[in-house]
Amino acid sequence: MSETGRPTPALNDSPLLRIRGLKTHFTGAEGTARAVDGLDLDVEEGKTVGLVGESGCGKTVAALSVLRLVPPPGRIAGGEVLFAGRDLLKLDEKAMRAVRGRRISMIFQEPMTSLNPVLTVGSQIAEALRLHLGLSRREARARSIDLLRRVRMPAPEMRAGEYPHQLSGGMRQRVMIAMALACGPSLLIADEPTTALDVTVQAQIIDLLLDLQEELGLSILFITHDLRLLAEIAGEIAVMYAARIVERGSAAEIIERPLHPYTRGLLACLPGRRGEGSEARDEQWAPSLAGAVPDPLRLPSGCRFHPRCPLAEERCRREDPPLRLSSSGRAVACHLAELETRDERAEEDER
Amino acid sequence: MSEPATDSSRAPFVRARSLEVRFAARAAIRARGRGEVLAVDGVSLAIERGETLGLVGESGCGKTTLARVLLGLLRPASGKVEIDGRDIFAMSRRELRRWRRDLQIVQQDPFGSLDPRWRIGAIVGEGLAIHRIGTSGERRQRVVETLQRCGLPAAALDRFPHEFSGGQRQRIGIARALALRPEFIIWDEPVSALDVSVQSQIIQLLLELKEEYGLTYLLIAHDLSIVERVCDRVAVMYLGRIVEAAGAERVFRRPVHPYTQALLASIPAGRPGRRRRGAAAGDVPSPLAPPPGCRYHPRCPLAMEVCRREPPALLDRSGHRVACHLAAGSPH
Repeated sequence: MSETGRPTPALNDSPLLRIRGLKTHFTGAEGTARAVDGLDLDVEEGKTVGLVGESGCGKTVAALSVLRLVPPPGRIAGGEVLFAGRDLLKLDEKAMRAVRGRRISMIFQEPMTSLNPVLTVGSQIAEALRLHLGLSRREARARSIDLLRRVRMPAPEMRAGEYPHQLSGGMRQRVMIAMALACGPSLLIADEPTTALDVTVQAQIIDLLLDLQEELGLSILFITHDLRLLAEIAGEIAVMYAARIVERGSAAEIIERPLHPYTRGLLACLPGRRGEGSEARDEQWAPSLAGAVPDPLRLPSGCRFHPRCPLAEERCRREDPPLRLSSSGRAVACHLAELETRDERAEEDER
Repeated sequence: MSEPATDSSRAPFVRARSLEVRFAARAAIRARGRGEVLAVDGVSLAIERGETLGLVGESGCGKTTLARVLLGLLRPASGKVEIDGRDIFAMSRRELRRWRRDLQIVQQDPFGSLDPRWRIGAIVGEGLAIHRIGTSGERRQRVVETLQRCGLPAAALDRFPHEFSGGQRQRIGIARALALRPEFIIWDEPVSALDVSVQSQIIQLLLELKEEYGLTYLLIAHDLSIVERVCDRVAVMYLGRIVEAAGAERVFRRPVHPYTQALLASIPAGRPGRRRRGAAAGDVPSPLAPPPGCRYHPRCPLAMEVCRREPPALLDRSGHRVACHLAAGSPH
């Protein structure tokens, strides 16, 4: 992969991607749906940040907002998306096109819907190379086979000449990754890239992404609803609920010491493994997140999680809790969570 | 899952004997010299009353085809399906119809499996109407009760599928299966299309219904962590064949077949730290051209010469069945 298109290194203290107060709203006949409403998120250079939450909580809209690809009637209503120090929301369309694909790439859950069924996969990868890097037809073809080899596609020369329907789900996702990496981006946004795949293939794709990240120094924003997966691959996890981040911290902290009742609920939904903890299997795995994500047209008052929260108090119904930050970089938006004391205790544990 | 079991004094509730299902390939593919797909290749299994058998394997391994044969929807090329010792494909139409009341399926896709133009009451009550159970008032009452038991309001009756979320639609699918008060339910990937929070609610409902109605389950899933929590016994399928089958505890604690080991290694452990490697490499080969010998050998890190030539037999060692040359020589 060439160095073309890599941004100049960001200032030491500023992350590669810094989202502040991002608002993306969809206005229709029924009113305004606040799909993303005051989102703060950072992705450091070379790191993997996991964005987790149930469907409908705004994860994908947040990702599309970074690329300014929100479909109408959605529009970005406010905030900043600083990428390598520049606010992407202030760029003109031409400058933005140079960012998409070249500096920030995105892969999706269902590769079949993102690939053109009537073009060979090799020519689809080559198209990106010719468009963004101005390669000749021949160079682009050679490079696309290289890329397929790099994503460990079996028999890349042969596969380059095949159509998407001739490939398995796992191979199609490899093609998507090859396309995403074609122009040497510094940030990859992966939106549930393995959810539609079989477990074995899922594991292969994850291993591939981690290897590529190491080789290329890629930053990854990994969107998923599977906290088990994030526990293994992400350095930092941000938990999103009803259009905002409700908790943020290192993967170890989030998994081992979740502070927000929503994060605890998500963790408790996961089936535990046999022989790891209690033997009683039916009893211990009771659903701990009742209800559903609120309609973005009618977000609840106060803390948006209060209607589902087992601990909700009067204050939670009235006051919207701010995202409080601890000195160690942990953040939580909950009136009841004891942020600093928990952190101090954690530090003592480590000592 | 003791096979052969000619000595058994009592037949199991559901038994499949040496099932084979073939599908003819389309003309274009036949022209390339590949005539048919052996989707299910000599599968035998038994399910006892009141137990939950998990059927796992990657997409395309024949799990759903096997379920369709057990439902009597697909006639196998050879082999038998017996319910309480009686061959369902030798039954009269009337008997088969009676049996179909007792056997229901909950499908994977809560979006595709409900007719968008039907009201929920009609969807859930269809089976009752077909089998002419009760008066229309009684049927309505049964539908309301069933919906409520599945966590839906009675008001759902007159609404349409699009008015419900994925989790609620799956509850409607469950109510449809439950309305006939069946004895046996096949759950075909019941939660794989749902969010984790909804998954745990649906699995909880599945467990409760089993207790309340004394049901027998076949759970088809590729998420092994759910199978582990819910099933009494597990059968692992690969390209149309069962490669390992035993009590859930045995399969998860001491998997013998390299494929089962790879499937287990693919489950994220959910603990912070560097992920563990060693999952299965490669994709499932095309069932149009299955590899010779052991069908898993091209992906197997332990494959030997014999694996490339001879298909391993499914050997039973005290209730733990494994089809692997490596395991054949050593005690499990």
